[in-house]
Amino acid sequence: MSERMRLAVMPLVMGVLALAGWEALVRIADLPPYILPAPSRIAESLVENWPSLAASLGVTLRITFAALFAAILGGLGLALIFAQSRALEASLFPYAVILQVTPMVAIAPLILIYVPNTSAALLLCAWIVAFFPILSNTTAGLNATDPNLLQLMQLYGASRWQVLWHLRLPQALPYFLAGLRIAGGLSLIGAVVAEFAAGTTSAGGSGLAFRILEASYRLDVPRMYAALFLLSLSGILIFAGIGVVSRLLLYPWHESAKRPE
Amino acid sequence: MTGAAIVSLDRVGKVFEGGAAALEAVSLAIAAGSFTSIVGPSGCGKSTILRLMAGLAAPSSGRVVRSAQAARLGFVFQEPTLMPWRRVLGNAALPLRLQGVADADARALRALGQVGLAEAARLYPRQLSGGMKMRVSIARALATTPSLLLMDEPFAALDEITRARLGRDLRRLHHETGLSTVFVTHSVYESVFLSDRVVVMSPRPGRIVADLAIAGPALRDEGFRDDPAYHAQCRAVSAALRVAMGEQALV
Ligand SMILES: Nc1ncnc2c1ncn2[C@@H]1O[C@H](COP(=O)(O)OP(=O)(O)OP(=O)(O)O)[C@@H](O)[C@H]1O
Ligand SMILES: [Mg+2]
Repeated sequence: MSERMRLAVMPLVMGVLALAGWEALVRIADLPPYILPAPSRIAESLVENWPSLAASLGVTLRITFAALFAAILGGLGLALIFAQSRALEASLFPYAVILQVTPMVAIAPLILIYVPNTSAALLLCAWIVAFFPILSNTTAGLNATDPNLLQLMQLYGASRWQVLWHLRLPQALPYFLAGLRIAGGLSLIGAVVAEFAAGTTSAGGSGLAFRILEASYRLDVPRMYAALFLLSLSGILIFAGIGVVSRLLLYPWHESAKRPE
Repeated sequence: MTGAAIVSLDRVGKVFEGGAAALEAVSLAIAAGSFTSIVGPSGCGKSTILRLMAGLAAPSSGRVVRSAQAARLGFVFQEPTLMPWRRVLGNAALPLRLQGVADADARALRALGQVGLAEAARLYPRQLSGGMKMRVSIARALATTPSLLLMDEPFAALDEITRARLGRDLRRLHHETGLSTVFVTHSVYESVFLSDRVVVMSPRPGRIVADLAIAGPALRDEGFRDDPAYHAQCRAVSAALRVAMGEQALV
């Protein structure tokens, strides 16, 4: 077995062992499902509740992807505006930081009051959480121009736009993609946190977080785990998907995308 | 066929922010169509002189006068300075693309052929050795068919054979096109073999301490290296360099 395959298989083996241990623990100690359900019981619940869980998964993912898309547009757009003027960057960037460091759970209730449409409110919350890594990374990337290359462009009479297009944007791409990786996970987190803040009362709340709350009121712990499982799986797939896209975009030239020898 | 100055420094001084003087009262006129080498110890300001000539830096005192011809400028930086996201061909064609030249790729490919890299056109910089990267950088400058070529230790990363071959080619190009060249090198032999004139600089703050005319055939081949006149001139430049660096002249 090659080194690469071993590295890919090891976490799988680890996971299977952990699940088997979990299953054995529950059976031997005879734990009731409302304390700790066995993996098999969670799987059952997943199958039983699939129609409602799948619908909720769809709701959560729609908000997540909409937020991610908006974060890309917003983060990239703002970074490009900042790149045009240091003064603008200096005067606006601190506010982006404030937006970022204020915990979403604390702002979400306010947003839910001000934005009457719940879906729009959830989207806004997820966007606030997700756009910052893209903005800050892309801004750093646009500013990280190699002075020698900048001189080269200057020497051959490049216009401002040519410098942006031929030098600053390509140079910022790896930074942007690293930000995107973080933003992917954050938009899911943002969507879920906002759903929790919206609670079970609002009309728009029928995403996975809503299912978890709902199940917890009924002490249906296996169903809580089933919803949680779907959330984690989504997060992992989003992260991995963005990783694949990054590697495809950077593979030919960037060191980070080099295959391990 | 050397004529009026294509670029000249007139009592130029350069002081970097928060530093001592890098250059002191440097006067140097580069005759159009000439091949001038600059030799001197590390840190004496050779790169700074080239950057002043290119208009990439402003003098702290004195004047830099550039003729209209000097606008058609090729510059080979001390580092390869390639864009990692562009293939070799894309890098070599960059200046032409910026200027909107139609046959940019064809011209860049021809220049890559001149430095022996036509085969590597599709590769990315990270797939190249240090010497290959430097040759791409040379091709990028040649592709623009400049009238003034400023080269900062372009052959430092190359093996002896490639170095000699590119040197001969450069000298032939100079002979055929009357390309004015300013060439920075650490090799006394290279400077004498290539140039009509060798300028020797002192350690920082850089001053010109010797300015030697080199006699030799216009078109030079390996035979020139066996010429006693070549050896005598190498010794003279070496001696000037040793004096510049504060050693006793041995000659
Ligand atoms: N941007 C800068 N800021 C401050 N000091 C600088 C800067 N560039 C060069 N110097 C200083 O100016 C002096 C001359 O530098 P320069 O690069 O011209 O030397 P050089 O002769 O080309 O050296 P080498 O042979 O090692 O390439 C050096 O002492 C260096 O420390
Ligand atoms: Mg130098």
